[in-house]
Amino acid sequence: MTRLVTHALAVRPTRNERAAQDFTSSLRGHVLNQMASTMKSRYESEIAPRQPVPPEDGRAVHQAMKPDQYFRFYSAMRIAAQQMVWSSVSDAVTRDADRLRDVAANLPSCGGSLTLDPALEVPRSVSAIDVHLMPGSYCAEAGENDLAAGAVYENGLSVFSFGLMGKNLDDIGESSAFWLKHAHPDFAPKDILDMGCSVGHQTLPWKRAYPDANVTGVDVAAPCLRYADGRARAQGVAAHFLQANATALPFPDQSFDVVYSSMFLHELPLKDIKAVFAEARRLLRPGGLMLTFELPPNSELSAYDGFYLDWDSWYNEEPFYKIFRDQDPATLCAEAGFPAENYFQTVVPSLGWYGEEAVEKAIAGPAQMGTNTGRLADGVQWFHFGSWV
Amino acid sequence: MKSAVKVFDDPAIDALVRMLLELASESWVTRARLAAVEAKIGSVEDLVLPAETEAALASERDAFVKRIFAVLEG
Repeated sequence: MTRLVTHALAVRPTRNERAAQDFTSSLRGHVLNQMASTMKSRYESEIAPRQPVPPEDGRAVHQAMKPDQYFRFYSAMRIAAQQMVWSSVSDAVTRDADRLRDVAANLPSCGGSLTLDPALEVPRSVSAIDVHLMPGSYCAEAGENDLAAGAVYENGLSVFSFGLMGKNLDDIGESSAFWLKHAHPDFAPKDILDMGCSVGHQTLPWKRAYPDANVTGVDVAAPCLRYADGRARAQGVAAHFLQANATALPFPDQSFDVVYSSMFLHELPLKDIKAVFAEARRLLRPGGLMLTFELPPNSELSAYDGFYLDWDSWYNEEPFYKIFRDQDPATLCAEAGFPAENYFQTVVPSLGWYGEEAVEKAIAGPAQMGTNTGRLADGVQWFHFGSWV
Repeated sequence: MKSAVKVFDDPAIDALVRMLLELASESWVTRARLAAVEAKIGSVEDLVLPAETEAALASERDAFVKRIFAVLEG
């Protein structure tokens, strides 16, 4: 489904490659909807009742599930499908890499910028493993101005998300910005930072929501940032992209009104998560907002649902995923110096799935944690937390 | 192609799952392509292919087999 990548940096898959991508998307949809549902039923009706002691947390559920053949096929198929996400797009990107680089170089500027730091040391949490089973991870570079890793990521995300991240793969950013605009209509941020922005797909919605604001995305991976910059210019959105480590950012204190991140913290070792929170606190102006889209913490979920979300930590090369989800976000915020009374968490239904009217209604009511919160499946709802300064 | 992550006691089963899904994918790719061809030219049931097309298919077939079993090569 690279058909969801429709801007000027779109690659040109063959008919066969498109069909293989469609197959992989359908396969993931089957695993994450149908098989996930069957697996939960099996747990509740057969596996849990057999346990001598009811599993108290996700780790105990995992131990109970491990011998189960259905769980094993679910996992093996999900792993294979994840590998096929990347293999279904990588040939087309490799074939098109030179053309993409040239197209990106010639796209007109629309007021944004790209600043790379060749001296930046890419942390081992990104460079030492194939994060998300993506070969070479996000930082693999094949020569000057290479942006292939960014192209593999965005095209792969299109296959991976089987439509659940919206037609521009930015449903999370769109939903987050929509929430802020509707929940806090008088808040008018001038400077917005997106930490761990990868290809900037969740960065650009902030510029669309707040056209007068300066919007900046930071990441450690140069190929993704080159692609993000080209992607922003291809869509006519003025955004700034900077290669920097979010644990130590080159901005003065109180530089931003919003410090945002999406699906970022769970990729970091705990010491880096804490450093990122401290940076967010340092960078925010009085009255500013740290807003984080993430997976809900294990403390908010049943033992089974916690196990279900932690699957990626055990099987998808995301070793810090569970460590993050075992933390209490309110405590992390307080430890970084955010006023405890200003912490909040909320659930924003997917804008693309539910539509603006339904999301507006949900925002007006109490936040509801549901079985779809944080689960990439039909009817997904996005969990957010944060704090005002 | 390869992952250190295994879920079955016998890693052969993990490899077999991957092979099966590659086959399923190739089967779908072929079906989708055939649908496109037949939409354009009608049924191909009685069509005789030129020798060079047969040779190209043989080469593609070798690559097809290699791809299905790539999981074994690491």
